[in-house]
Amino acid sequence: MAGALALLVAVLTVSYQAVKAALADPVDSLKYE
Amino acid sequence: MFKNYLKIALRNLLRYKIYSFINIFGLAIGMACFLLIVFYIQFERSYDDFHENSKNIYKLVRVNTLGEQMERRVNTGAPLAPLLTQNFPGIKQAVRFTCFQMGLIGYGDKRFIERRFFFADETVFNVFTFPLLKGDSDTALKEPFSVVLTEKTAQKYFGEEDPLNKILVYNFYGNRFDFKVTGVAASIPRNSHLDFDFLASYRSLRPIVGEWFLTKHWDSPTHTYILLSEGYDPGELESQLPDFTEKHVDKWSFTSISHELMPLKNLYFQSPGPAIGRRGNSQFLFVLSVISVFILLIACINFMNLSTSRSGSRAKEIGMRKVIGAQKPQLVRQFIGESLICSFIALFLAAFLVEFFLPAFSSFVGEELHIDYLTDFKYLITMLLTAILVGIVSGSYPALFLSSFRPAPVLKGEFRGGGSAVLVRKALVVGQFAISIILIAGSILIIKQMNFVKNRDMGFSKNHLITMPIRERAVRSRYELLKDRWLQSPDILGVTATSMLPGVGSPNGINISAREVDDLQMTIIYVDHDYVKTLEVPLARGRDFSKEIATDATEALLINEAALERFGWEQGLGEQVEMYFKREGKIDPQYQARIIGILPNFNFRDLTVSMQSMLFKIDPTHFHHILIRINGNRVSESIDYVKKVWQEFQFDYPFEFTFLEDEMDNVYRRFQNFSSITRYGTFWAILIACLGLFGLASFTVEKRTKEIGIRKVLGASVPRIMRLINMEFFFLVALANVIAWPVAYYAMVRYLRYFAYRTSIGIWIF
Repeated sequence: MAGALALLVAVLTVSYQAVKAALADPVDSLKYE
Repeated sequence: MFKNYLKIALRNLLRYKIYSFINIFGLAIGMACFLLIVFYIQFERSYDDFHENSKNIYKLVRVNTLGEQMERRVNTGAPLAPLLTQNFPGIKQAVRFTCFQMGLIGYGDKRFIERRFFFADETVFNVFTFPLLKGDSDTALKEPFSVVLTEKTAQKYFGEEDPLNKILVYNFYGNRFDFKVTGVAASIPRNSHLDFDFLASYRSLRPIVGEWFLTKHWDSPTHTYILLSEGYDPGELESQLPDFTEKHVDKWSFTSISHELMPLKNLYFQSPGPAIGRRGNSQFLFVLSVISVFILLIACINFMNLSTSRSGSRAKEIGMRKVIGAQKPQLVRQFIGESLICSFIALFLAAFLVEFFLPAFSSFVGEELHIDYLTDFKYLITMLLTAILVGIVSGSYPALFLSSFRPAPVLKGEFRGGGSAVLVRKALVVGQFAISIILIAGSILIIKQMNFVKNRDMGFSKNHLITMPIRERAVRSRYELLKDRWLQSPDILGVTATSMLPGVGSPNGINISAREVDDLQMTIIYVDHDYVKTLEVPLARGRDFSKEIATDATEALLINEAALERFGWEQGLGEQVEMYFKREGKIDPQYQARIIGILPNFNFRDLTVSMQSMLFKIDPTHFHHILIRINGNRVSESIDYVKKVWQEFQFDYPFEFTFLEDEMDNVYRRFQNFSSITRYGTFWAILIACLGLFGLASFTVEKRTKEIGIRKVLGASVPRIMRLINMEFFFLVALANVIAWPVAYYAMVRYLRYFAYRTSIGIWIF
């Protein structure tokens, strides 16, 4: 349970950033080239 | 140059607002937790150091040996102190405190039950530093029946009146004694383990308790402190104590008795029972300090990781500085300086957090902590040292890493955030989460053990039992009348009296001999006829005490299964046993009794202590507590009735009661403290660790923006990309689990050792 809890919290934290990145429009991030 | 460093540092802090916030806020929380705990530890360690003679004060500890068993107790005989001063010239002064933990004090209409009424030798003011506001400390406790009050107590009884020469009435078991107030002592500092409200002259004891109390070396509620002359070696005194004890002190029924010395400064944490006044808990402090260091460490790791992960943005600056001629030591200093700036900003925030959380934390640990920065430099110094330490620890690795960049590739734009740094970063994240997991697992186990202990079947029904102490002779002598009167109400389901509350106290021992067995020592509990019925203990075999059988009142004995096992009997019923004390080497017979029933092993003491062999015997002269089982559906009505009856009898002592369940919970309070402190600690540790993880994840995402963009263009779905990002950290936390489990398991096993009855360490906890 302790391990699962830690994993859950970690995944939730990282997911916030991951979702932000995954939803970003690739056009914006690749525009420069 | 320095100005430039400062400018660059601030510019960097402001440019990367999220990083700076995570860094500084994380550090601030970590520091605040750490500082609160350090302040608390400093306070706890300052106990009793305000006495001018504190280095030369020792307390006598008596070691009672009985067969294989050895027990250290702070209770000594009253004659010990004068004997010590007569025999050892190195002892400058000795002082005794005798405290009966009860007494009814009256002044006019005001009557209060007082537990901190100490009888003390007149030397008390020479040995300890307890200044008097009124009265003369040289003479205050010279005369019999004089008493010194603390400021607060004087206020309580006399209000604005001058307390000097007023008369207080002390009621001891129904006998009244007049005490003249001869002094008012200043409030006792919070960090004093002795916490009296009254100090009465020791010469008053003789008329109150009789000559024998002062001449016999029994295990009386008397505490003996000595003040050694400057330069006198306590070790030398201690080596002479065995001979001295052998010569002067009666052994009673013990195999041997000896005395040891314990320095005043160790008393707060190490005093054996039954302690007088306040007693600290060093295990609790240890757990606290471990947690505080953990939290600070996690915050420092965040700092390191975020600094090295951001190194790319500083690489060009470092390259330029090196090209212009900066040496490595200069750069190291620059970066450590930057981290010191951060840690001082964090310290500033932490100071606010400490102020904000101090009241809550104080009530939580049960002390009144005050931080006075201006008068007590101790606090300021602790804070500055913490900030400097944190700055250097968390700044050194990034400084070494950053300053080792080779300028040529960096300036050519070939810089790739070094591979070794990535590895270290990952290791540190694993470390952070390993710590968090240990704390989570520990908290779960502590909660589980708490529930296990609270819900464990004690072997008797503990609900709806109220208890009242018997503090005067009149209650004891009219107990049967009182009981009959109580039982007239249908709400009162049972009334019994006993020498010791079940589940709370430590009972008395008595020697026993019986057929085939000689001189066993067992625990004896004195009860009345309805004890088993009222507690609802199911009888294992035999029968309960009965009013119908006249001999039961004097010659019947109930024993528990543990006792039966110690006797080594199969049946036990009907066996004849003799009970006696040993006094001055002689046998002093007490009772002859026949075993009529066997009780199951119900838990008499709290669950940290394992089962003892116990005997139950009827003897009204030893009753100290009344136990009443009331109707659970009409609790307040029942209590009102109990109170009404008590008042009908017009005893000296006012009505007071507690629920047995509350008394039992008190025993577990310190374990409950453990439980909540680890929970809070765990919460903050995880919060800070996640803050760091959040920062790292945002860095990763930023670095891989283009990669993610290309993947999306090529048709990767949102969940796929999320998995990609998550995987990197998921593995780290999984690895942290593997590391944390064995450590957590070891810590759990250690914790459970404090209990005689332990919950299982289930796999699910991990």
